[in-house]
Amino acid sequence: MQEIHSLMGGFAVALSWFNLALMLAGIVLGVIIGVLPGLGGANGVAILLPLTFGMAQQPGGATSAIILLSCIYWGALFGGAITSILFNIPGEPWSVATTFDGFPMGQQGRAGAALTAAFTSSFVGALVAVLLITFMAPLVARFALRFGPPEFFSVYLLTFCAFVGMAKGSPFKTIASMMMGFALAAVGIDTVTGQLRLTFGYMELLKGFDFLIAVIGLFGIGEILLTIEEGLEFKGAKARLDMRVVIDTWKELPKYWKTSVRSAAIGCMMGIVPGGATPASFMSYGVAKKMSRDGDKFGTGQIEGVVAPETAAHAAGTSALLPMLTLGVPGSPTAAVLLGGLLIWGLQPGPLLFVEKADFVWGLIASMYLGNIAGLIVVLTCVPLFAAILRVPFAIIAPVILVICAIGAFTVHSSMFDVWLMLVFGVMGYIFKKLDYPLAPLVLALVLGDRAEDSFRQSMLMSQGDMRIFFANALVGSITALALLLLFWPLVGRALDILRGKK
Amino acid sequence: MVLTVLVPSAAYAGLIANPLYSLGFYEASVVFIAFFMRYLGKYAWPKIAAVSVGVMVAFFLMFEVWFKVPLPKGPLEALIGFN
Repeated sequence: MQEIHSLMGGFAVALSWFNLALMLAGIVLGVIIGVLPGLGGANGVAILLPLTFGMAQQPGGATSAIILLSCIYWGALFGGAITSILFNIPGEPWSVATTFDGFPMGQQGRAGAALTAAFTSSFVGALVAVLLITFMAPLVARFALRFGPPEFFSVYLLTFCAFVGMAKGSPFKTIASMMMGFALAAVGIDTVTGQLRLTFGYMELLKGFDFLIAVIGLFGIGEILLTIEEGLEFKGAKARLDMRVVIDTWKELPKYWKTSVRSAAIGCMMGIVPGGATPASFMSYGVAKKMSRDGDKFGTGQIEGVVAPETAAHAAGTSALLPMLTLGVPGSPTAAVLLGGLLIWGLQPGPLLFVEKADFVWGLIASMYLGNIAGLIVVLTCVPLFAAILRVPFAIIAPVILVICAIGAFTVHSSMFDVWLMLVFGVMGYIFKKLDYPLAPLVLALVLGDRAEDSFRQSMLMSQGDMRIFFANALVGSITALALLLLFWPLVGRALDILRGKK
Repeated sequence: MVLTVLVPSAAYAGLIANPLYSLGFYEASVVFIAFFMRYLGKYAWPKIAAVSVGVMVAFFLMFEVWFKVPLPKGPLEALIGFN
């Protein structure tokens, strides 16, 4: 088992005092980010990305840097559940489904049990996903070494189509948001011919729009604007966790192993095929409701209704890193930000990463195991502390978050123009949210647009403009076919329903 | 309602990022936080001063001293000779 051997090497890298300290710091920061409104996994990691620039330049520093960032991400995944259960305010979009049963449990005085269930099932979901990454990622990477431009384009196409097909709301809104992302991605220098596109003579637009700025603006500023409007007040259950409640809940949890297994499977699938954590949690909640014996009682405070979405969200959030590492295709906005980090540190994500930077990859995978264990301990012991953060009045927390966003936007390129850009993106994010357009497709299109275009045009150069190159062999043909199937999935599903209805 | 945040934010960005004279990130942020606390939170001035200056000193230590990330600086930093 070569994977086990590599993993042991990874543990040797990750298990230094410095890295362990970074892990703890990352988890704590991540939970705080997850708890605060307006700061989430994606923009939280984006804002803290500049902190790692100095760190990544030292030898072996890139591993420490990714450990810090990925732990912030785990922390944010854990933290979202706290506010959902205690205050009925989902700190993160993927914990919306957790409020359905988590908040009623909190109201009934069983907040401790709900929190324990949420954290433990998050941990289980993450663990399943990390195991999957450990054994699947090297295989996928080896496989992907044979990829050429047409194959890469078909993978990008799959990503985009999956977003449309798996969208929760209207697929047309998803497409509109994605096209906006493509348009923004096209600004700047044409990578094949070197011509300027859509710059309108402005020097600032020469380098195009950086998606990190977009992420900070869209998710951060947009969220603050929304929160102000809703006039947020935090009222909710008291947060206390004593060991007895934790152990009692742990005794109860194995009963729901079927739900856990199912949710973890849904989560992993949705994470790898880029659906993201949010649809995964909803889907898993829905399936659990249908399959469970107590399905009718869902929504009144069933532990199972907390287990299902949390397991799936964490499994999806973690397994989104698998395509990011092996193919360079992020499965979620946060994975996209981590990918951006890798690029800035001078690492090229993709199949070669496993060959050339084995230390880095396996260090990261080992840190996923350790980080999630550390995360579970931190959240179980420090819930009251994190809940107290929410009691800081909004008039203080809002400007501080805005200042953090501005600092984050500035430091990406040390550019003043980006601060303005961030504000514009913030307004855009607010409008998108108000009109119920999804933001994730825009970000993904902005990240992958340039590279999808490159691989498309390279393929076209190879085939002299013949589209049949995307069906030229079994490999690329099946990926393209799968992509098209996913794109039309809503239609296919409806057709099946009609057929079944007729019978 | 949204404008109560957006307009001050734009003014804040204007204080830092304009071609004529930049106040510096830290000074502008102190002003910004203070304005927010006074305008939306109706806090007393001593508390405002403590929070806004305290937060920015913490940020200063974290960014400039610990992680060595340079941010645009204004007249105050020049006064204490930190560049």
